[in-house]
Amino acid sequence: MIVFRGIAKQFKGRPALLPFDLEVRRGEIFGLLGHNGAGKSTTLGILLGHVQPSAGEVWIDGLSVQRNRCRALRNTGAIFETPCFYEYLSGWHNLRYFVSLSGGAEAGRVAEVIELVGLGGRIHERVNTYSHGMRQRLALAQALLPRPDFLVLDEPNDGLDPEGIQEMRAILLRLRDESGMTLLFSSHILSEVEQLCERVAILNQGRQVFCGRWQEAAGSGQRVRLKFRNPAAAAPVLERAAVRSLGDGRYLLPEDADLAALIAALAAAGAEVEEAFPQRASLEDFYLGRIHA
Amino acid sequence: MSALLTLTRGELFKLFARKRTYLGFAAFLGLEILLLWVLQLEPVRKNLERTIEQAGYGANDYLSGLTLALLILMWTTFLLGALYLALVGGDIFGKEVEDGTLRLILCRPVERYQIVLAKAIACGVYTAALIAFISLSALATGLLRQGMGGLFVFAPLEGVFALHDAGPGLARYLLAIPLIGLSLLPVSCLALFLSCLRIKPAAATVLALSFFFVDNILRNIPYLESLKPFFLTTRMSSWVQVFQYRIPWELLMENNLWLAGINVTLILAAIAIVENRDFKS
Repeated sequence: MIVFRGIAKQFKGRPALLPFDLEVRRGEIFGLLGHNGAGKSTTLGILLGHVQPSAGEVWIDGLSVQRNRCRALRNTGAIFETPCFYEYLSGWHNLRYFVSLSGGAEAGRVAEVIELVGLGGRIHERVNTYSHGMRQRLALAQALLPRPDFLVLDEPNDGLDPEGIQEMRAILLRLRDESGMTLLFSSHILSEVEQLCERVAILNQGRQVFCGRWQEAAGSGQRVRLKFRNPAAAAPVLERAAVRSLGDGRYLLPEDADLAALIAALAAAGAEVEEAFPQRASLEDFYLGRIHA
Repeated sequence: MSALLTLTRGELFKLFARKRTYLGFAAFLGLEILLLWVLQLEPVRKNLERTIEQAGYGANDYLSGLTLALLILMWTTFLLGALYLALVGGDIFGKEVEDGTLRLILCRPVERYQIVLAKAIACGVYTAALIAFISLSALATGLLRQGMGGLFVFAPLEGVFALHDAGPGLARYLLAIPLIGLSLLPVSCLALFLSCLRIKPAAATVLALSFFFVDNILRNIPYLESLKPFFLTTRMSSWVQVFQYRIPWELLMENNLWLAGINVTLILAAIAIVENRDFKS
């Protein structure tokens, strides 16, 4: 389990993270969301001991990263948005070097991980000949080689094509389901987080504005897409029924509202409803709602 | 301890896997061949012969491969040697920060001080390898061109004027190699220290070189003669004293302890910086 307690960070007196708590449970894929500069990378930097917090502490399986970084990180792997390697070395030599710092890995394990990430054919070529997608696979391989229990992924899908994103998702789900790995995942691609994570934390300008099961939090209320021929006539009816606009023709009805009765009221008011589609709660709506709240 | 060994092995592997590392070796070989050719030019040769004969010795006995090798060494190691050592030292930490590979290393269960120590050891190994290569290749090219003979040493700035027979001359030459290595270690250590600061690797290299060049310029200003012992390059030049008829071991020991103190201070300062620095994308 990863536990953040009272974590805060200031850079040159400017607050980058305001104190917050966070828990990532064993075996889950946890999403860390926020705009650029919201504090996601700083949070992950503190977790990995790259950044010293101004206050608070992070524990990985009961070991404090700030007081005992080496032992705390023994079972942790990480990949970053820009996969960086020694360009003049082959993928193979890069893997051997990085895994040697974690105590090494037997040849069979290396072959297994290379197979898992699909780099088999090019592993002995220099990294400067690799595409971005291949570098990201190599990054995943170096993180997985020491058999970590925790995997930290900072924007792993940045720069990947749709096929690459899909493959990455499949690998991450496989790691959780087959190895019981815990993943802390930060991404701008909300649809991706939506498919992978049940629990998320949302950061906005260094402040944690949400932490928990986003679907439960977003579940109070019904979402519906409505299209009117006469929107002016619809407005007072919607207001009376406490219906909130989510933008782009989407509305949030109170939990106990009767959609059929609402449509009838709109029709009676002359709004002329053309379309009414019930909608699933999306992480994007939830995220934007929390950010702008 | 085993983490430090693993890190050091990794550092050496990375260092010697880069083509750029060999730039210094290739440059020195080219320069040695060029200098040998220049030293064979009639006017240059005549000047050397005159200097030896004025001291009352035969030019044929002392204008040997050994003498040519030492001349090459004295003219090149400080300027060009420092340049390549500063290049490698300035890159060794800063380039990893710039390229983002340091963050991957920091995800591993290794201590920050161990990373700096491993890099310092790698710098030391590179310094030793470069100086050994320069010295031995200068000796080989000198001997191939001129053959074995006595050693003529003339270093007016350091107050050394000596002539040695072939055997003792060769022994002194070989003894000078580790001393040159020790005297140039502060260049590598200063470049490593600067590369741990929040500056570009190229800036670390330029700053390190500038420091030594300025120190050397000031040392050679006649009005600052009384301050000479306080300049770092004075201490760094003491290796030439090994060619005195009676080797001043105490002076060599004192200067090398002084340089070792500077090296240790720079490495400890580098560790302190890295231990307290935030590494973010």
